[in-house]
Amino acid sequence: MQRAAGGDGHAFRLLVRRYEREIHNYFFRSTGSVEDAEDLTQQCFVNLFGSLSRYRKTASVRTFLYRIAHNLAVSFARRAGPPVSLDALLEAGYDPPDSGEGPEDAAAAAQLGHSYLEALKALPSEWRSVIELRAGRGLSYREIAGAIGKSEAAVESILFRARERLAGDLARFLPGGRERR
Amino acid sequence: MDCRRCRGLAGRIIDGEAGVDEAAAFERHIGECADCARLYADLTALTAMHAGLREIEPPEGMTDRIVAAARVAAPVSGAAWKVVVAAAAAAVIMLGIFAGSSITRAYLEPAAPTYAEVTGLDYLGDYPPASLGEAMEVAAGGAQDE
Repeated sequence: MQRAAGGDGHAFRLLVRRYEREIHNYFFRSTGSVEDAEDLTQQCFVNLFGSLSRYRKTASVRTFLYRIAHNLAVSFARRAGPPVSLDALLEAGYDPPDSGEGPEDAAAAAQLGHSYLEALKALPSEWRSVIELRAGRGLSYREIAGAIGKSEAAVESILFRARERLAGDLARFLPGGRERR
Repeated sequence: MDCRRCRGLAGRIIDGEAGVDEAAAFERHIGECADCARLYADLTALTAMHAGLREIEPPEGMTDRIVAAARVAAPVSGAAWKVVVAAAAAAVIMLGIFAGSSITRAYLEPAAPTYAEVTGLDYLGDYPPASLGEAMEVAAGGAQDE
């Protein structure tokens, strides 16, 4: 990062190579569109390049990058509205969940993945982003707080509400939900 | 630990953010409380669902496109601005030195001597009346007047 900030083009390329896959997936989950994910990934790294001189070692490179990504994702959602439909994702060749062993398991897993993505995209964009940062990207509460510019307590609260909403929408797939029925 | 506290803590347990003592208290509580145990099972299942989503691969050539776009969009960095300002300042100084030396030369250096001064013929003054010199001077003056 320090070398890239000093204008080393090769160092910047290495930075892109290291993070482009996870940033691309983050945007894909946020927008539900392969094309938008690609555009936003590119914009994210262009913004990173433009702000390298402002980077301070108080945050990790990853947190710094996700701060840019989160802001882009939230403003994109504000502009573009809800993410594209799951059918569009499937048409784009996306295969949501890891399949089970047999055909029945595979069908059930596909149904589960389909429903999960539908429930995920119904969340407010900031909640969706925080869920993805935690459950998809594995960021700690502290890193998420740094990325979204809020406190760790706020992150915990968003995660709690987001999971509560998901659990309600997906009750029929959940152990507790099945028992309650 | 009561159920309210347990519900609040469940997410942090799932995310590995709880302390050792909190985790131990949580474990004890869900061992005794079926509702909280179900909640914990639900949250664990949700996390597994998210983790089960497939990752997609970035399109071919994306790295090159990103690097090219960053170069095009890059603003002039602070270091580059310093170089530009220093070069501009040096150019102004050089221009000042050149202009100053030209003006100094024009005012302080003696003018080139005239032919009459060099040859020392100035003392002769006007040509004598009806002389060839006077005739040539008249002719030259007339030609200039026309």
